[in-house]
Amino acid sequence: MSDLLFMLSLAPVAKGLLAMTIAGLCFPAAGVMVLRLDLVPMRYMLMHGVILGGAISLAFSLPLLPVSIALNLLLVLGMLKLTKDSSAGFGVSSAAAMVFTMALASIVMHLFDVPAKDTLQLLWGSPFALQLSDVLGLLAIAIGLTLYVVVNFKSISAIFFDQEIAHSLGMHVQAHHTTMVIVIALVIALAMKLLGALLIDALLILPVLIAARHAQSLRQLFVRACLVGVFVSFFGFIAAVATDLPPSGTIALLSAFLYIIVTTIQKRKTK
Amino acid sequence: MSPFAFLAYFFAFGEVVEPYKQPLKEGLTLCVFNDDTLIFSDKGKWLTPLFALEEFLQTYEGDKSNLAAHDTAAGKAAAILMVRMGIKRVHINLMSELALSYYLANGVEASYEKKIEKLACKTETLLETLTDSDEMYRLLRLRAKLVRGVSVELQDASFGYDGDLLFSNLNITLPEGERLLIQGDNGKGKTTLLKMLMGKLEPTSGKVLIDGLPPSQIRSRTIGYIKQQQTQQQFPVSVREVVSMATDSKLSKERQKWEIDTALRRVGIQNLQDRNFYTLSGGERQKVSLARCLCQKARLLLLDEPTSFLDSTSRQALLETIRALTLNEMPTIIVVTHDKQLEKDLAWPTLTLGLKEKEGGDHE
Repeated sequence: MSDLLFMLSLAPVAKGLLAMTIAGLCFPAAGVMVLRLDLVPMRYMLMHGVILGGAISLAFSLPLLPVSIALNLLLVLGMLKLTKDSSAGFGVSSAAAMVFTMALASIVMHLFDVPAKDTLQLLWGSPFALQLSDVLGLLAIAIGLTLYVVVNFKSISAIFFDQEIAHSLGMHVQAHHTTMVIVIALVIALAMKLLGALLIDALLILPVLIAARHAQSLRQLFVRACLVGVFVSFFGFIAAVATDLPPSGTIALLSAFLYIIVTTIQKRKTK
Repeated sequence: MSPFAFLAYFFAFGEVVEPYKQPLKEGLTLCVFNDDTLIFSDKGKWLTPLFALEEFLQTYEGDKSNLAAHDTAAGKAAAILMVRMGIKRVHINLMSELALSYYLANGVEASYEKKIEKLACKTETLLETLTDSDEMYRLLRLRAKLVRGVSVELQDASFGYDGDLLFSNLNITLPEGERLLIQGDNGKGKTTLLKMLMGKLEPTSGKVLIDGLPPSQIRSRTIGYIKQQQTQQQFPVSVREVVSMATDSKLSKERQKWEIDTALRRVGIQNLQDRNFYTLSGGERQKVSLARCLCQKARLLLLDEPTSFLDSTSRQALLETIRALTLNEMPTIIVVTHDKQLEKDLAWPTLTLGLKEKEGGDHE
């Protein structure tokens, strides 16, 4: 126990725990958007966008986070334009963009001798190597995301419910849709660097799926998903530190276990 | 009335006169009593005091089983309104024959000071031959301009995809508060027409005007849209959240809460407010959608196949709610359906797509 407390008192571990707690508490809100707006393919595309960002930043010795964020924003805006100008949906555009980004990443890695291993390291994240600026950036996005959801809850719930009805209610559906897509792009760009690809699913998607099992309202879904998120990220991180296992895998495993337990209990209840 | 005046009246007429039969105080044109207690009075003219009374009674929490009214004048219009409000006894200074027969036919105890054959006003003439209580009531609200609806106009409107016209030269003129049923088989452009009215699609040619303006320029929240209930989604959104998304954000939180509660109560779904919308039956979902439009105070209601996927009980409940809307708020309502039975059930003016407009026909 004292070993664990000592470990947690170390600055990199403490910063990691703080980052995980913030991410766990707020990122599931972006997961609700991803699932409800059917943006799962876009999430994969954005993860590939970060890999391309990683390749570019390593090739040109640029800071990873700003490059990844800028690239993801460009990809998202390009996709929005593509979706608007053609009959292709977001899913099709995401698939095309995913191929494009990976192809470009492989060419950049080949041309500039970027080791693939270093680029793919992004898939695992680096929660113990966070700078204070990373944590502050994470906090800023978490606050922005929370404020956006709280202030625009009525519009968000109408858009999630039915976009045509939201339009008839005079809501700015397109503007909100674009904002949510950009927020998701920012969250994923940041989360990839800090938490890794595995944790994006563990913190964005699984808490929402767990919360959705029992939630009767959108408000409940947001609150419960965030509570599940903070639970798995906090205790998963501590368990990882205590057992000397990788945090991303431990947290993802805890999320997955929780999902299986909740699903099994619900199935038994409905039998 | 003061005790002195009461005694003076008693000695003058030799009997106790019930309060509602006693002379109206100066300036008042309508007094309403619950037993002997005055609960409402008004100084307005024409039917204004009665419509004000109607509004008052909606929130009046006292007993309404023994209401009595004293009015300065009553034609058939006043009689219709008083009967609808459940007034049991009336005393009228100047009453028409038409009003008296209407009161008596509906079991109202009526007395008067002077009776004439007919009031000299257009409303009395319009009502003279009408018998359907709801239609007469609608007419009165229309004449009193107590209508929430907006006018809808399609001028030679055509729409098609890739050169194939779904409908052409369609002309529709609907005044405020009117109702229209649009029928047609699948693929005839019913839903497309609704999307045109919502401003989501532009007509290939011609004009669409809502309240005299193109749909893109009308005030937000004018149109309430109820879609077909066919999606089987599994996403948590509570009934209360669905209804609350239609409230006006400019209102105070307390007012918004009141409006949501009122809308839920009006369609009888308060007990469902915490349930997930997607776990409800088709009929219950339609009720929630209507509550949402009530909360929105929609001035044009567009219903797309409202009876699809409904069992007979749900269908009946939905029709009753729609009928109640056409009598109370009176938004302009357009229903599109391929359900032939709905035309008989609602008995509204009907336009059949794919038939009449081919010849450039119209509906007024």
